[in-house]
Amino acid sequence: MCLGYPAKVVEILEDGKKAIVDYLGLKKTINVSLIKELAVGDYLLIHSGVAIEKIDEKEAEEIEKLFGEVRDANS
Amino acid sequence: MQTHDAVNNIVNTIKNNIEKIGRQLRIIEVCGTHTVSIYRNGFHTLFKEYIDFISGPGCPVCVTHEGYIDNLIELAKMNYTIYTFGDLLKVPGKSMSLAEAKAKGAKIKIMYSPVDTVENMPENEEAIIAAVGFETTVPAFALSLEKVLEKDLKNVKFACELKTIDQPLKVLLKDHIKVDGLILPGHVATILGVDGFKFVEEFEIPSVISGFEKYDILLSLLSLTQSILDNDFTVKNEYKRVVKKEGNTVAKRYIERFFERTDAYFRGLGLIKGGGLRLKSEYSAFSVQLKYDYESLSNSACRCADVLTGKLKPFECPLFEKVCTPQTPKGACMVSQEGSCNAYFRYGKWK
Ligand code: SF4
Repeated sequence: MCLGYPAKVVEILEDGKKAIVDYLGLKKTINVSLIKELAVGDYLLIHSGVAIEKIDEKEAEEIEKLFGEVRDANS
Repeated sequence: MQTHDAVNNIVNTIKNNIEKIGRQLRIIEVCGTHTVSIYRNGFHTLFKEYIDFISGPGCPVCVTHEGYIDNLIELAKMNYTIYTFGDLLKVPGKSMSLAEAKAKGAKIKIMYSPVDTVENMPENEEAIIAAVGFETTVPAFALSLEKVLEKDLKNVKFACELKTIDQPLKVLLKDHIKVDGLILPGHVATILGVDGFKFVEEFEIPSVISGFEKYDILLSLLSLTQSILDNDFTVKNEYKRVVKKEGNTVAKRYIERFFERTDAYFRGLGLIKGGGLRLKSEYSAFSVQLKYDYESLSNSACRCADVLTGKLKPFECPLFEKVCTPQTPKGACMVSQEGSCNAYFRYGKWK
C-alpha cells in the first residue's frame, strides 16, 4: 500500500491538476495538484493515484553513476 | 564490473564500521517497504552477525486493528458500499475479514486511487471510503474530500483510521525498544520532509531517511554506521532525489486544511495520544463515527504486537508457517505484502 513508483510526465492536462504519465510504457492519468512547477519530461513519484513529489533527475543519475548502472533510455 | 566494485566497497565499509563499533547493531526499519527490500535483497544474510534488523510499526495495514475491520463490516451490513485498498481485504476482523464479508455478498469494492474513486462513483451509491494510511496517503484522501466538496456529493463519507508516524515512534523509542539506529520511512518523509523527523534527534539515536532500492539501503546503512561511529544524532537524508528538507509543502497544507490530530489505536502499541488523524469538525458531515471496544482488541493468538515492537521475530511465533501463511493469515503482519511476517515467509532465508 505504501509502494510508490516513478513515472514520466508526457502531457499536462488543461487545468494543471492532472497529467498523463508513462510508467514502463503504460499511460495513466494521475492527479498532480501537489506538485509545483511541473513540466513535461519531469519524473514523478506516484502514490495512490497522486503524484507526491518530483524526482530530482540529477540526484538519481548520481546514484546510478556511482553504481555504474545505465538508465533505460525509454523509461 | 563497476557495479560490483561499488557495491563491494560499500558493503565492506559498512562491515568495517560495525567492526570498529565492536558489536552487532540493532537497527529498526520503521517502514514495511524497507523490510521487504532488506529481505528480498538478502541484506539480512549479507549482514548476519553484523546487523539485527527489527521491523517497526510503519506498515499501515499491520497496525490496523480488528476493531476497524469489524466497523467496516457492520457498515457494509447497513447497506453502504465500502471502498478499500486491496491490502486491507484479508486482515482478520473479530469474526471475519472484508474478503469473507465480500464473498458473503457485502458491497466491498477495491480502490486504487481515492481521488479517482470519488470522481467515478455512481450517484445512487451510499459510499464509505476506508481511509487508512500514514502521512504518505493522507494527501490523497484530502484531495478526494476536496473533490467531494467540489462536486457537492452527499453520498460519500470517510471512515478515518489514518495514522501519524511521530507519536508511535516516540512511544516505541521511549517504552518498547532499544536500538542503535533507525532507517526512516522515505515516503512519509517525502511529505513531512527531513524537518518532520527532527524529533528523533532528541532520543540521541542516529537515523537516516532512506529510499527503497537496494543501493538506497546500502547507502543508508553506510550513512547510519558512520553516524553511530561518530555519535552523530542529526537525521541524515539518503533519499535526496525525492525528500526535501521541508517536505511537500502543498501536501502538508492539504493535510492541515482537512485533518486534525486524534488519538489512535495501533496494533502492537495500543492507544496512542495524537497518533492519528481525523476530519476537522467542519467536515464532520463527511465522517463516519467508528465505535471501538479497545479492551477486547488484540487478544488473539497472533503475536503481531510482539513482532511490531521488536520483541519477537516472526519465525518465533508458534503460528508462523504452520497455521499462519499469506493464504491463511492470522494476523495483519502476515496479510500485508509489507508486513514482516509476510516478508519472512516469502524470503525466508533466516533459517
Ligand atoms: S506469524 Fe501470523 S500469527 Fe504469528 S505474529 Fe505473524 S501474523 Fe501474527
